Amino acid sequence: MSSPVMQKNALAVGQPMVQVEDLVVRFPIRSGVRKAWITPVDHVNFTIGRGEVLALVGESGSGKTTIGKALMRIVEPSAGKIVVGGKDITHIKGRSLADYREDAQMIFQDPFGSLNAVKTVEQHLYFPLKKHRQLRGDDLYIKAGELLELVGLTPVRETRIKFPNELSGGQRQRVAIARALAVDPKFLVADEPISMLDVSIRAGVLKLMNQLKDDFKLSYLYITHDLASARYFGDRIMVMYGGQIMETADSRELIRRPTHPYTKLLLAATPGNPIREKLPETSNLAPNLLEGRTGCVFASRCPLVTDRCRDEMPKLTLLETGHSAACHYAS
Amino acid sequence: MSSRIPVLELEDVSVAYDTHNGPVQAVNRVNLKVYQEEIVGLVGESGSGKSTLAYAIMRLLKGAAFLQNGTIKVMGRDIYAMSPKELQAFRWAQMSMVFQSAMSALNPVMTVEQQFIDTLRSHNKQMTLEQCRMRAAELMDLVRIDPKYLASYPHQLSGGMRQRVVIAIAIALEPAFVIMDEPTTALDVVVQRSILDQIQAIQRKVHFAVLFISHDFSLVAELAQRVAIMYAGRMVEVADSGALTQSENHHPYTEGLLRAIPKLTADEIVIEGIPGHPPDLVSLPSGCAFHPRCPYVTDECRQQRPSLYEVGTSEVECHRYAGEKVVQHV
Amino acid sequence: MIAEAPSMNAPVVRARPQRPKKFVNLRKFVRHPFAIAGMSILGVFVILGVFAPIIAPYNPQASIFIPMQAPSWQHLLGTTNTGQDIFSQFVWGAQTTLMVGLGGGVITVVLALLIGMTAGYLGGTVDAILNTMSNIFLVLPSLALLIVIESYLKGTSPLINGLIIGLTGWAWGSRVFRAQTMSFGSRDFVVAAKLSGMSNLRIMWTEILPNMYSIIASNLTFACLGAMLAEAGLAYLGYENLNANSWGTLLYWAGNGGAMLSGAWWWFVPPGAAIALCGMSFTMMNFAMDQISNPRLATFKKRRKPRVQSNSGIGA
Repeated sequence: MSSPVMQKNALAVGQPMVQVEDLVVRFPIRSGVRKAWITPVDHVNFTIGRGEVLALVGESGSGKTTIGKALMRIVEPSAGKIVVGGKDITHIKGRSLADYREDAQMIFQDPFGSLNAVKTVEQHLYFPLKKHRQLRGDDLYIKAGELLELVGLTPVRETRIKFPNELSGGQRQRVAIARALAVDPKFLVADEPISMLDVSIRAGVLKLMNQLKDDFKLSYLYITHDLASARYFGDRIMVMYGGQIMETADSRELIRRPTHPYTKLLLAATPGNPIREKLPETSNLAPNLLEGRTGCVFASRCPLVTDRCRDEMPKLTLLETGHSAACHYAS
Repeated sequence: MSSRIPVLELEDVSVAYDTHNGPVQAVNRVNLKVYQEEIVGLVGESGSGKSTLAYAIMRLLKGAAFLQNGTIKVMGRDIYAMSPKELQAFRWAQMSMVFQSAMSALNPVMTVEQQFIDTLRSHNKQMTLEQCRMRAAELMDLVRIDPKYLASYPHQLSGGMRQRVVIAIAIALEPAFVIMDEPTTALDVVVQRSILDQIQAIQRKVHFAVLFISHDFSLVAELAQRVAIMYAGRMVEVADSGALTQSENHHPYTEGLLRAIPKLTADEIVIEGIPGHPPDLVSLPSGCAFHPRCPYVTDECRQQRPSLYEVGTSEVECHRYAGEKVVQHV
Repeated sequence: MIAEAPSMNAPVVRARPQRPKKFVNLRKFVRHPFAIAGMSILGVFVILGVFAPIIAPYNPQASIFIPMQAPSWQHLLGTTNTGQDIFSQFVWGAQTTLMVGLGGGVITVVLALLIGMTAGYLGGTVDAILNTMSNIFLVLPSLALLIVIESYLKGTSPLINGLIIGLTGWAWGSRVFRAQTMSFGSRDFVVAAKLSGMSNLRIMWTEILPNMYSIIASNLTFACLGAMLAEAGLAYLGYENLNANSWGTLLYWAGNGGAMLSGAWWWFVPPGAAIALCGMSFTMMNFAMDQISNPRLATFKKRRKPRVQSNSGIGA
């Protein structure tokens, strides 16, 4: 396999691939006559190193998809800073944004929606290969075949001319991964890539992503609602709720010794978890994302809630090396 | 088992779809009994035929799908022998269904209470409005929703609440048997857990049997007493949920599914997929449909479909158990 | 790891997709009974129109025959009250009417595509402006608008009419295309295309447009039908160059010449029937397209085994 293209902007030794500082994303919503704002991403900080996988775990409405979109610059941040590969990409446009597309790519959740029904498998790869690797003719054809081989879509000769409706969900996701790799990126945002796949197929796709990470020293932001796959694929896990980080730790550590009540709730709710503690009876209200909310986002559902929680928003505090939680009562 | 009354009896049931190139088999000679107050899980992935089977049981097959063979009996009555009128009275009063998407199961222009009343009245014209209202409130209480939401429209409720309303409507007439087709798939994991707990609690109170269909094996194994596993339209294994924790006496597909679920708290997390891809019903592999993906495949598997064997307390359709008692020949 | 390892000079042999897969809808279409019927009927008139110079026995304008004759072997559709051969007029009329119908329809669809796709894809201010424009055109009664324009232009040729019909009738189609484009625009494969660096124009042309072929075809049949009827209507009301030869003017002269009063059915029935038949053929083709693109609308043959039929009330 051809070696990765030389880094365009070599990182300093030890510098993380992705640095997110105080990221805020706000959207206007129509609430009656007046415009209100919601903050699905509310002052979020994290880093991802080279060849590292950060798993971002949360339910719907947690803001995890919005962070992914902000990192890909599909959505522009309202405040804060995002640095990828040493470059500040927070507000870039035009030429710089086009260049960024060679550094970071995205894999989407829905295998059926992420491919174009009228294009064959190989046709999905041609444009990025032409544009970013300047390949033509036979070279283009061969390279496309190599990529398909890389993601396990064998026999390549047969699958390359198939249309998406002739492929299974797992195969389509592999095509999507091949397309993402066509530009030779350094960083991938994977937004729930396996949640719509059959259970028996998921492991194969996760293992592929793992293999590619090792082969190309890729960094991943792996967005999921499933703690089990986060534990498997992620080096570190970040738990989000209502736009804020609740807890972050090394993945093994988080599962073994969760400190935040929300993390404990997620763990208790995950099927296959032998620890079946009775789930505390909490209301199932969606988190309040409106700007100007006070106190802890999780207060309305927390079994440990006190008045202090409702008034004062807990800060993300470091409990041990690499393990932080945002809770007044985290032990 | 034999002293208990079967609520659902599937005998040699086959369902096919008419296509330009002849009928395509979606469900192939399935046998299953569900007993009173039992929860039976039905697990399968794409192409397994589990949803088609559910619709066949409710006699809701549409378009090109039809019951090709076999009998389906609920509470001893042949579903396909009933007249439309009998069927209408029977449905919901004796058996009901909870669908995957609550948003499409509920009428968007009727309040929750109106939907209850609609259901109750259509089966029992004698019920007064007051009686319906009381019953509606009772049912909401049963699924732990504040009765003030009776006046809400479906879109005003959260996903979890909507699904609980759908469940309440399904048990409104206290049927003996409820089919639940992936009721929690579209919901978040915490909401999912609370709904499943609720289903167990209600089932204990109202005493109905459940056929719980899902692709999520670990979910079903926790909830059900018995689990049936389908692959390419055949029921390849039926086992007690206790037996599922053992690693022997399984169909290779079941083994694969068990390995595909990561054990959350293990030291080293290992997940294995099943190589290959889901079966294409239009062109099934020869012999045993699972053979292209099976680690134990032999020539016999490629040529001949296995019989159903009794293995311990389970039934498994696999050549590895030839020599055991045959439950059903091919 | 390399899929093909060609020697330095050996040509790379490429895998080719089987053609049928790509045009599967088209093949289904040409086999569909409604489509066959529609295309046959239309085909008859198209042949008449295309070969008008050969088929028409006389000069359509020549008023040299005995007037008001019933159909005979010399005059297949009889004569007008001024002694013109109706069959010749009919055949030349086929050419004109169909040209206007098809031409006007195509112009309508092209405009609707341009405006609708741009509005749907770009959104924002562009969408707001184009949307307002199309709303205005939608609300205006099209026939009244056409009449007003015509009365300024005084007796235009059918082709000009066709152009005007095309320029005013795009609004409804543009809404449809706008909605379709918007729904595709939010799909992941379009986002992925943007992320791979594709320009907006290229995305619209190569990603979105090919997905809309069946709805464009369906729109086209309706647009042609509408254009044809609009032209006939305008001509019948007298808003066309009265020396032109189209089915509409034929109807005009029939009305003017008292055909209905004198019972000269051979004058007004053929053009009217022809318009109706062509309209029907467009509709039938549209129906076939609908059934193919939405398989749920298709009806199924009755199965041979009645014993285990689905409940008849809830079946297909």
